[in-house]
Order: sequence, then C-alpha cells, then structure tokens
Amino acid sequence: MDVRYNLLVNHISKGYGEQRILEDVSFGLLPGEILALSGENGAGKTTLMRILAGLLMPDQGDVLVGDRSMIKESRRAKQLIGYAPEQFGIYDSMRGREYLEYYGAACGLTGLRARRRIESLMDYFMLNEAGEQYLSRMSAGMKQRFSIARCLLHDPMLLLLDEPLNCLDPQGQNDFGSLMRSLSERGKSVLISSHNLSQLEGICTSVGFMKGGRLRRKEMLEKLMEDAQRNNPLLIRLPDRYQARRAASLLRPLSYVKSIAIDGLSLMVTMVPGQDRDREILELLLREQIATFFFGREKIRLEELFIRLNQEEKL
Amino acid sequence: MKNPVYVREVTRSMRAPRMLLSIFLFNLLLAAVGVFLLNAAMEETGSGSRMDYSAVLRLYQLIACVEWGLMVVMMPVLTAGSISGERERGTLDILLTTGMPEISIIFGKLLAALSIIMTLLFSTLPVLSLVFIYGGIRFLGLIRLFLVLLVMAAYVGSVCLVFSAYAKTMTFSLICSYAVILCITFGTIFAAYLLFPVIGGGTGFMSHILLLNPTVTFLVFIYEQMGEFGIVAGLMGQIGMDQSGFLERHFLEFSLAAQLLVSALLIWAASLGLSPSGRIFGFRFHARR
Repeated sequence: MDVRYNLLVNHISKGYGEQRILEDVSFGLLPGEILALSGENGAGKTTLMRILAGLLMPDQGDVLVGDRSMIKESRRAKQLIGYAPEQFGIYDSMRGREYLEYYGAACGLTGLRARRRIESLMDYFMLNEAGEQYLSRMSAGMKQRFSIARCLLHDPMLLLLDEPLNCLDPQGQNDFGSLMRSLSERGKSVLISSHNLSQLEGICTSVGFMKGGRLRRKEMLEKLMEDAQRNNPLLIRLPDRYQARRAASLLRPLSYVKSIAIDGLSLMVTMVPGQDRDREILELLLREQIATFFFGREKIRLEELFIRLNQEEKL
Repeated sequence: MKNPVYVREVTRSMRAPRMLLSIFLFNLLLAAVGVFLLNAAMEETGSGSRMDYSAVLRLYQLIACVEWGLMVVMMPVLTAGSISGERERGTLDILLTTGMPEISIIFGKLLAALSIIMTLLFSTLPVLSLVFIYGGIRFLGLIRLFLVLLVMAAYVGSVCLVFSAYAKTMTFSLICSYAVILCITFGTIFAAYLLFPVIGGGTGFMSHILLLNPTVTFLVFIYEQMGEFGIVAGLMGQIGMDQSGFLERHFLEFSLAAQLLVSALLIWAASLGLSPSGRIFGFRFHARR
C-alpha cells in the first residue's frame, strides 16, 4: 500500500566547504505525527529545519511537503508549511492583530477569509485582549503564542517549530500540548526541534536523535521507550527484608539473571541482554508465595534516554 | 493586489511622530531660507528699480538642490536597513517562508521608501511655489523636477537595497550604501576629471561613466530647466565631452534611462540575494550558503 507522507526528506546533505553539516538525512512524517527532533549543539538541527522551511538549499537530496518539492517548487511547497523560529520574529512596532493580518496577507489570506481565520485563532489562543496591544509590551509567552498562531494562519499541513516551549509558563506548555494533539488529530504533522525533551514527552509521538549531521535514530516514542525500558533493571519491592532475601536467593541461580542488587526492601534484577523473562520471574515468586508490592521495569525519562543514546559509542 | 510589505512599511513610517516632525522641520528650514532669499532679492531691487528675476530662479535652484541632497541622504536611511534590519530581527526568515515572491518583498520595500521620500519632497511644494510669485518656472517644470527626483531616488534606493539584501547587519549595509553612493555621486566626477588628462579625447567613456551619476544628471536638469545651457556645455567641455554628439545633446534623457535600467538590474540582483534557491524568473544563479 502506498504510504502518504506529509513530509518526506530524501537523502539530504549539506556542507560548507570541507565541513559537513548534514549527511544523508532521510525520514518521513506521517499525517498526525509529532516528531521531537533532538541532538547536541552543532548536530545540524537548525540547518535541517532551515532546509525544510525552504530557507536554505541542500547540496543533495530533496524535500517533499505533501506532493510538492521544496527544492523545485519552493513557493508552492511553502504554502503547506508553518515555520516558527526560536527568535519569535516579531515586529515590536506592531499590534498583535496587525501582526497576524500582515502575515496573513503575505500568505495570500485577505478580506473576509483572513478576518475569520484571525478571529478564530485569536479565540483559540485567547489573544483577544492582547490583540490591540503593541507586541513590544507583551511577555515572551504571549509573543510565543502570537508566533504559533501566525504559523497556523494559512492552515498548513506541516508545522516546523524551533524551541517552541522556551518561553511558555506551565499553563502555556499545557495549552501548547493540547494544541499539538488537536492538530495531530486533524492530520497535521509537526516537527519540533528542542533541547528540552522532558517537556515534549507527553506531546510528541515520535523522536529523532541527531548527531554529527546524521539522523541516528527516528522511532515512534512508544517503541523507543519500550526498548529502552526493557534494558532497565527489573524492580521488585517486597513487604519485608526476609522476603527480599528469599526472593534474591531464589532468582540468583537463574541463567537469565545477570545480577541482583538488594536495596532495603527492593531488589534490582539486571537481566542478561536480550532476555525478557519478567513474566516467568513473577510466576516463580507467586508459586513460592512471595508477595510483591511492586513488580516492573523502572520508567525512563525521554531526557535520560537521549543522554544514554548519546553516550552509546555506536551513536 | 496590495503588497503587504509596502502597506506595513508605509503605515509604520507614516504613523511615527518623527515623520510629521521631519516634514515640519524640513519645511520650516526651507521656508526660512526661501523667505530670506526672496526678501533679500526684493530689498536689492528697492522701490521703482528693475526686478532681477534670476534671484528668484536662484531660490528655486537652491531649494531644488536641497531636495536632491535630502533625497540622496535619506534614501540610504530608508532602504539600506530595510532587509538587513528584518534579518537582524529574525523576521526575514518568516517572511520568506510565507511563499511571498522575493521580488515583491524588494518592490514593497523600495516603493515604501519612494512613497515616504516623495511625501517629504511634495510637502515642500508650497515653499517651491514661491517662484510663481514672479514667474520663471511653470507648474509643469515642478512636476518634471519631482519626476527626475523620483527616478534618481529609485536609483539610489535600489543601490542600497542590494547591500541590504546581502549584508547581515544594518550597520554594514548602511556603511556600504553610503560609500557606494558617495562614489557614484562624486567619485565618478573626480574619476572623469582625473582620467581626462590621461585618456585625452576619450569622450565616449567619460559620458558613459557620468550617465550613471545622479549629481551630474540633476545639475544638467536644473541648468537646462533654467535655460543655462552654457554652464552645462562648459562642465561637459571640461572633461572633454563633445556637446555636438547625440548622447551629449540628450544627456538628461539617456542618463535617466540608464539609471532606470541599472535600478531594474539592481532590484533583480537584490531579489536574487533573498532567494534560497538562487532562482529568479526560472533561472538559477546560485544556492544560498
């Protein structure tokens, strides 16, 4: 079956002289997918974002937004994207509503259609009161809201957001999450470049890690977390020390158990790599009538996962 | 269709109190000079004596030259930072992702600067009209003056826009613009005068260089308008230009046409500076690094 991507990046490379900034980057974004793109400073995230936004030409490769090539028909492709750089791109001398009207007109949105769209976005982002204020007098969070509302003016199928959560307060972050999810439900794709993965954990559906100009890994968040969690030690919390020692002596001889650490009433069971025998262990404990207060793998945070992946030599 | 960049630039400038203040101060200065010169001419005449009309025309000449000077000084201020300023603020990237053609952005900026400068110049019409008291210049002559100034403003503005499109900062763009404008307005005259003794009778070369000099164009226009063809001939003669030649006889027309042509090329070059693909009108010239 033919898969239809909102964004398809095909073997993108970019360099300045001898220095390679991006090397053979390829990936796709499906409708509804929210990709968090992370990586160390200098990994090539910003260059990639600028290429995707049509602000920079790659040396090789192509970028397809919907069915339009950003390289060959960039003007038409740009009609399908909304781009918010890390700097808000705000005119201090403008009022909030004027800012949206200006960019609306630049996107070809005029007249009644423009007014309706701006009204609905201002309602959605709760910007009505701020509409008549000068942008120079607004808080960073409010500017960010206007910036994201501006991205959505022409109802693009792909949003490219660079560090969008930087200036948002907890309420703003929560609203941002809801907005992203609602866009995802409507089939829009979002690519978020960010250092702050912990804030994106509940928002993104997939994660991409960049290093040295290459996209080292891009996977659905659920699968990535599952894989990472599988490598975490199995945590078993028991009611008393006696039961803890009993359980440890029971599990230690098992061939698929690599090591066991006892920490008070808890056991940390490290398994031999590739051995996923949690169920068998639980059954064994139940058979021996050892009650457990907690049985499971320790949860991993996205940020920890990024650090772990970054440290892996093969990465 | 409305150009949003033009609308924004004009609205922003016209809304600013400094625009009103500039118009007021500029006109105050011109009016003071005008009234002073007119008064001096009338006192010189005295009661019952013959009126020297050339004094009134000199007033017109002076005001026109001040307007030309204002245009040359103001156009870089209005245009040199227009694109590089957007780049510094981080708004240029957003504008470029809207899908708005690069040439429209450049045109919007140039037309806005022209509108602002022409508003400032048109506002001096009442002061310039002092010449109508005694005659010597017709209203059509004033219209011609504004048209010549408009062409030259477009020329100077497009030179600055090229720097603005390629420079990363406003300051660098402004410095380069002023340096180049200085070279064009005065440097070419010096070059022509310095080169003449070396090249000798190479009149064609001299005329061609000076076609692009707005100072010479403006002086030729003003002297021709006042009927002082002898001064123009003298100036041209000093650098070995043959006044009987076709190009020299129609220097003003050729000069304005050449400046318009160069302006068009510069606008195109500025658009190229904004185009990431280096593609303008389907032709690819470079890819942005």
